[in-house]
Amino acid sequence: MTATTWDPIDGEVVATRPDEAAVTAHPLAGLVRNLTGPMLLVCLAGFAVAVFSDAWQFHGIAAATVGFLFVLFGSELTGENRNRRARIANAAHAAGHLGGTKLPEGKIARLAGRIKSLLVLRVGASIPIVLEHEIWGKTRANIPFWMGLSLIQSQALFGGPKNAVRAGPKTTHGETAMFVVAYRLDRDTRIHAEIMPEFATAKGPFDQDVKTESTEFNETFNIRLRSEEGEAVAKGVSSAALLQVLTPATQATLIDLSQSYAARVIIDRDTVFFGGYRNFQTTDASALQRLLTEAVEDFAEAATAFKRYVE
Amino acid sequence: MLTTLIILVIIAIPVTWAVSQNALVAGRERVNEGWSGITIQLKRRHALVPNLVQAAQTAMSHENAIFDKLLGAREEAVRLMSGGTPEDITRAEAQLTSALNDFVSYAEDTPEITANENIRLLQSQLEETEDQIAAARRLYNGNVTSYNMKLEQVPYSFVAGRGGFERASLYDVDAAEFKRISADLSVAALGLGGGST
Repeated sequence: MTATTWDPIDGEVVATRPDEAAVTAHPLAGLVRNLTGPMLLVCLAGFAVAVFSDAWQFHGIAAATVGFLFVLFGSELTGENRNRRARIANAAHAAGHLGGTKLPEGKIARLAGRIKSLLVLRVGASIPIVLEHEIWGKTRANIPFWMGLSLIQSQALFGGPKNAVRAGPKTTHGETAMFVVAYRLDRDTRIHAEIMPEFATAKGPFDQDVKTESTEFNETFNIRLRSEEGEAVAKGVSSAALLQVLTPATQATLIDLSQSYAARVIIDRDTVFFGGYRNFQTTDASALQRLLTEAVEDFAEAATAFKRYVE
Repeated sequence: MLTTLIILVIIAIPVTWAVSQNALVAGRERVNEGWSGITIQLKRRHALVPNLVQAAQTAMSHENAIFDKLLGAREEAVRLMSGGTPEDITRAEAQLTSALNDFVSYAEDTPEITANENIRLLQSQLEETEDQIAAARRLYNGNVTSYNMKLEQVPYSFVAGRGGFERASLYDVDAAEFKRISADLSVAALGLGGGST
């Protein structure tokens, strides 16, 4: 099935519903998964030795190189990266969505230019969102959306993230799904607002962002307004337009979504970009597929949950 | 050494006092802003009620005691909005909510009302307003809880006792009541959900 659909970067695109893809288990996949964490430590330790010790410099460089190559190519050689691509295509197929394909490099660059704040690393905040694939679909309320997403291997320490979904035998290993959903509003908000989780370097005397009437919302989110050129706008400017967007119901919904998805939002005039994460703490292939398929649907619903309050 | 310590303590006390005072003032301001957020949504609800009643009367071509009760509750709520205490306002809004519930129950049994497109639009706006009130109430109560907790904590408690900072009251209208109106309007009375109740 091929159809023309809305896209936040290209305006309109022609996309195809993906076929089901096979997920194959490599016999060494479990071993590689278990060794990824230790090899990452070997890489870091080797790097430290190479920098700080003259006598052991060669050994340090060797350890860092081996650890780095293992982390870089381990998943590729055991087919895990291919399996992740297959799971994303299967999730799109199961939901009747289009795409499930790799994001073109040029589009990634244009996305990075438009929603840079969603994709950058901040001190004391979650890992930055990385987008590798894209899906086009419609929510249950028939709202067309574009979704950028990726899956990465993760290992939970100290019980794992609080919003992790667990399935199958107990394990510390799993996958982290990163999402950005974009959709259009029925009106031009006349603002470019970035509503990000509060981060370590924006607290105390550095806490200079726009404030709403809610203490809880202000403690959860950091709000910045930007001009058309991307420059930060002074606090008072456009605040009326911003408050029209951040109604009490919008704020309450975003607080809830921050708990479940570590939500972050960019409202760019008439387009909303909603980003977040989902952690699946399982290595069972069928459970991973089911959880990802559900997460794709649920995340699109969550992203559009506050649409009518913004409009 | 002792002199330095004494100087540091002398500096630290007023600084801590000032920081605590500022934090409490900011907390009280957030409580006021939160209350303002609720009143904005309540006023929006007040503005919708006369239009809703007028549209219902037009659709039915006759008067009904439920309309009078609804308009009376609305008038009382509007009157108390300017000058009433938060407790008075809360009580009046609870009565308005009750009158709206009666109206919704009546509308469910009256096809002339549910079939009217204008009333559907007004009820849809009312439904969204009830969502906004419930959310504003939640945000306000969050502010109150945060502010009241500060009043009990050291060093804020020292400043609060001497600075005239008083505990704020929660907005206690049952959120479930607002939700009931929303659900009734969207699903049963308007038939928008496609299901039966």
